[in-house]
Amino acid sequence: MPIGLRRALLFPSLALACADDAAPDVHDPPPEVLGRCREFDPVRAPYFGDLHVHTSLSLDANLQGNRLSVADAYRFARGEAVGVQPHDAAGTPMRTAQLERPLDFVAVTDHAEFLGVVQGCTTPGSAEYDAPACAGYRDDPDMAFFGFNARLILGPDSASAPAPCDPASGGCPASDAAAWDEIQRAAEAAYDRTDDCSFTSFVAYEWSGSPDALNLHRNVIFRNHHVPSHPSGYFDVGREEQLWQRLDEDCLGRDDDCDVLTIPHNSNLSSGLMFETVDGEGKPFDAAYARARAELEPLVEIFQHKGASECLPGTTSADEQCDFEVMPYARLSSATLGGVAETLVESDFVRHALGRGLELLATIGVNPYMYGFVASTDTHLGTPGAVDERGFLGHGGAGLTVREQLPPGLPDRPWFNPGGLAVIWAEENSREALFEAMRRREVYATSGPRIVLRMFAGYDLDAALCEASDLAERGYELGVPMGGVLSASPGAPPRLLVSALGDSGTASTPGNALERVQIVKGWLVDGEARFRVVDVAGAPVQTPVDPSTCTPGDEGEASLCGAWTDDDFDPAVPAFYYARVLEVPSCRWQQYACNDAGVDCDDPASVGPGFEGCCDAAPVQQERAWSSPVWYVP
Amino acid sequence: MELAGVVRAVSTTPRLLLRFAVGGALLVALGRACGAVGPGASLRVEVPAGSDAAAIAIAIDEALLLEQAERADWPRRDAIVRARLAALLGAIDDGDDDPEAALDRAIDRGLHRRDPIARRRLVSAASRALARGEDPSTWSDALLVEYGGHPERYASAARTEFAQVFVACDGEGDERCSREAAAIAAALEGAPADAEIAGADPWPWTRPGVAYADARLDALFGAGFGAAIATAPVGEWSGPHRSAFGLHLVYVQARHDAEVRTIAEVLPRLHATLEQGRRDAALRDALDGLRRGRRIEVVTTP
Repeated sequence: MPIGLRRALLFPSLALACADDAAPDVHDPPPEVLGRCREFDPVRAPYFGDLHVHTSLSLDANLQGNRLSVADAYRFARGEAVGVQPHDAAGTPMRTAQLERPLDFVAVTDHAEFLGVVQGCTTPGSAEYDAPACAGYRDDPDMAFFGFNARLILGPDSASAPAPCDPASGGCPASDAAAWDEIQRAAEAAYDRTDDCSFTSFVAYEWSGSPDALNLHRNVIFRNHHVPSHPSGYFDVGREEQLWQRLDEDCLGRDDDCDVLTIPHNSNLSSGLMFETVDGEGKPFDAAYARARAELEPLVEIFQHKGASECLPGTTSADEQCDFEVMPYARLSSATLGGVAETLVESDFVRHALGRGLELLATIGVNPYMYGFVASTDTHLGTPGAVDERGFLGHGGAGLTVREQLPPGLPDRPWFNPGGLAVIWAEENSREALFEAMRRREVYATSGPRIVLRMFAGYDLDAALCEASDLAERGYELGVPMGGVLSASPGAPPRLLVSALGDSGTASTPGNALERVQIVKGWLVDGEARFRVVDVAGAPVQTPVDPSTCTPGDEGEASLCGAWTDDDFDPAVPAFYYARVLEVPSCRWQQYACNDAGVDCDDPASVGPGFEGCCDAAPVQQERAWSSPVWYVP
Repeated sequence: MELAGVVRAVSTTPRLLLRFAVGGALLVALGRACGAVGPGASLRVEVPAGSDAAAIAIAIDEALLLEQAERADWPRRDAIVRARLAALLGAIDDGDDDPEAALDRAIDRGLHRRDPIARRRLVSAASRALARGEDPSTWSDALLVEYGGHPERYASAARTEFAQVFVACDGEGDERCSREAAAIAAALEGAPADAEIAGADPWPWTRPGVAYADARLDALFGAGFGAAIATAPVGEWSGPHRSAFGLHLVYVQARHDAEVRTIAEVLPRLHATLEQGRRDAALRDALDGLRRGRRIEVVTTP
C-alpha cells in the first residue's frame, strides 16, 4: 500500500474518530488566492462549462417532470450518469444521460421567481403544502405552468408573486430560504477546493423579467460563497436597472468580498427590448447608466437551446453565415403557444448591439454594450453541457412536454437545439480565476464543439506568430487578448491574430474539422455603425456532408491560424473586432434522429408521427465558435 | 501508483480489505467511545461576577457549542482558527520548528477558548452544524464507510508535466508526417527537454512545467492521449504519440501519481454524496408509501 493512501486512510480517520464529522463552517471558507491549483498556467488555459442550467427547483422545469436536484446537475456535469424524465409508474426515469467529457465549471441558474412555490408545494409538511394553490400545482401541472408563468409576463410594476407565496399572505419565507440554501450548499459541495481543482461551481440564479412575454432574462453569477440572503427576482425588482441597484446594495456594497455579474440571454426573443437606448422608464441612457450597465454586465449569452443571437439574416448588420439557428419568433411565449409568426428585430441581435454601443460611445461618452460572448445550454432537464447533436434530449422547459411519456418522434420542437458552451481563458480552474476572466471578458462561446480559440490584437503583432509555439506569451506581451481594449493607435493599423484548434472529439464521436476563421469588424461612419466580415484563414469546403448518412467530407483542417491587418482603419473612429470560427458542415441534431428512424422526406409514408419536423428544419449546419470582441477606443 | 492501481489494490486484495474493515470498525468504535459526552458528564462554565440569568444562559450555550467544536477537532482542522492560534503563539512564544507541535501546545494551553476570535469562530461553526440537524453518530459511520469503500472517488488526478515536439498530419499526408516524426525522434534521442529541433510544427496549446491531469489531456488531444503520456518514460523523449491533430514527440519531465485525499479535504463532497443517498432513499420510501395498499392495474393500450 502506498504511503499516501495509508496516511489518508488512517491518520485523518484517527482524528475524526474522536470527532463528529460536520464540516467546519463550510459556508465561510477562507478567501481564495490565485495559484492554489496544481494545473496553474500563467499563460492561461481554456476551461469549458455551462453558465445556464435549470433543475427541479425551477418552476417550469419542475412542472415538466424534472426531478433532478441542484446536486444532481453538478454530479452530471462531473461525469456521472443521471436519470431524466419522463418517469414510469414506479418513479424510475425512462431516459439516462451522461457526459463523455465532464465539464470544468457550471453555474446552476434556477429561476428566482417561484423558488418558494416549488419548494413549498413539493415538500410535504411545508407551510404551503396543503394550500389550495399547491394542490392545484400538483394536480394540474399543465394549468399551473400557464397560471404561474402568466405572472411573469405582466408589467414590471404589476407583476407580483402569486398564491401561495403572495405578499398578502406573508410570502413563503421558509420555503424560499430553503431553496436558496440548497442552491448554495450544492454549489459548495460540488466545488473542488483541493489543489486538484477538478471542478468549479458558482452560486447563481436567473432573474426572469418578461414584460409582455418579451425576454429580458439575466443570469446572476456570484464570484464566491458570499451571496445575498435572498435572490432578488422579477417580483422583487421589476426592471434590469433595479436588479443592478439591488445587487449593488445586497452584494457589492457589503464589506466582505461579495461580487457579482449578470449575463443577459435570448435577446433574440426580446422584440427590441434587450438593447434599447432608453432605460426602463423611457429615459435616454446617460453616462452613469451606461457605466453601471457595462460594469455589472460584461458578458452576453449569444447562443443556447432557444437559438442564436449573433445576427439576423437579411439585415444590414448580417452576413451569409448569420442564417444559423434562427428562432422562428421574437417573443418568449411563442415557444409554448406554438410559434406565432412574428417579425424578428435586428436590434435584438448582439452584433447590432455592439454597433449601437459604439454609437452611444460617440454620443454619451460611454459604451454600455461592451459585451464579451458566452454560450450555454439553458437546459431545463438538469443536464449541463449535454450539447452533442447526437442524442439531444430536448429543452425541457418551454419546449415539448415530456412529463408523463416520451413523445413519438423528435424529442422537442425542431427549432430548438442542444445549446452551446461557455469557454473561459484562466490561469486555473478556480472561482477566483474564472470569475476574474469573465470580468475581463477573456471568454468565448461555442455552439457545442470544444473548439479552442485564441485571439490577440495589437499594433506590433507579427503574422509569423502563427508559426510560433509561444504565440500566447508573445500575444500577451505585444497585444491584448479577446475581451480587451486597444488604446490609441501609434499610427499603425491594428492586427488581429486568431488561432483555433478543432474539437478532438471523444472515444465514440470524432470531432469535426475546421473550415474557416473570420473576423467581424464594426465601426462608425457619420455616427452610424457599419459592419464587415472577412475570411482570414481556411476556405469554404466544396464537398458538404451527406445528410442521408451524416458522414462528413474529407475537407477541412485540424487547426487554423490567421493574421489580419485592418487596412481601412481610421484611428479617429472607435471599432470592435471579433473572430468567428466555422466547422465544416455537419448534420443538425434532428437529422441524426430522422435518419435513425428511417425518415425519407421524399417518401411521405416514411415520416411517422412526430417526425414532421424532419422535413421542415435544415438538415445540415455549421457549428462554430465566437470570440469575445476586442475594442478600439481612440 | 496510478489511480487504476489504487482501485485495484483496494478492490481485489482480500488481506487489505480485511485490514481496512477491521481498522474501520475500530475507528467507528473509538469514535463512539470518544464522543460519549452524555447527560451525566459535567460541564464547567465560567461567567463574570454579576452576570444575570440571561448572560449565564448564553455562557452555558457557548460552552456546549465549544465542546462540540472541540469534539470535532475543529481547533486543529479549521484554517482560520489554526492561523489565529499560530499568530498568537508567534506573539507570545519563542517559536517551534514543528507547526503541528506548536498547534498542539496552543490548544493544550486553551488559547482557542480564550482568544475571542477563535472562540467566536468555533462557536459559530458548531451552532451552524447543529442547526443543520446533523447527527454525528450516524454521520461518523456513514462517512467512514463511504470514504473507505470508494477511495478512487476521493483521489487526486494523476498528472504529467511534459515538453513536446509536434508534427501536424492531415488525411492525405499521414505517411509524410510519420516519416517526419520518425526523423525528429531520431534527432531527439538523448537530447534534453528544451532541445531546439528543425522541421516541427507549432503547438501553442500546452506548456512545459504545467502538471496536466490525464483527463484534460484526453479532452484536448483526443481520447487515450492522457493514458499514452502517463506510461511514457520519465526523463527522456518518447513517441511519436498520435493525437487527433498529428504526432507528438514527448519528453515527460515529471509524473505525479494519483493520491487519495484525506477525509478533511473531501468532507464537502462526502456530505453531498451521503445527502444524495438520503434523498434517494427518502424518495424511494415515499413512493413505496404511496403505492402501499393501492391496487395498481397496468393496462396496455394498442
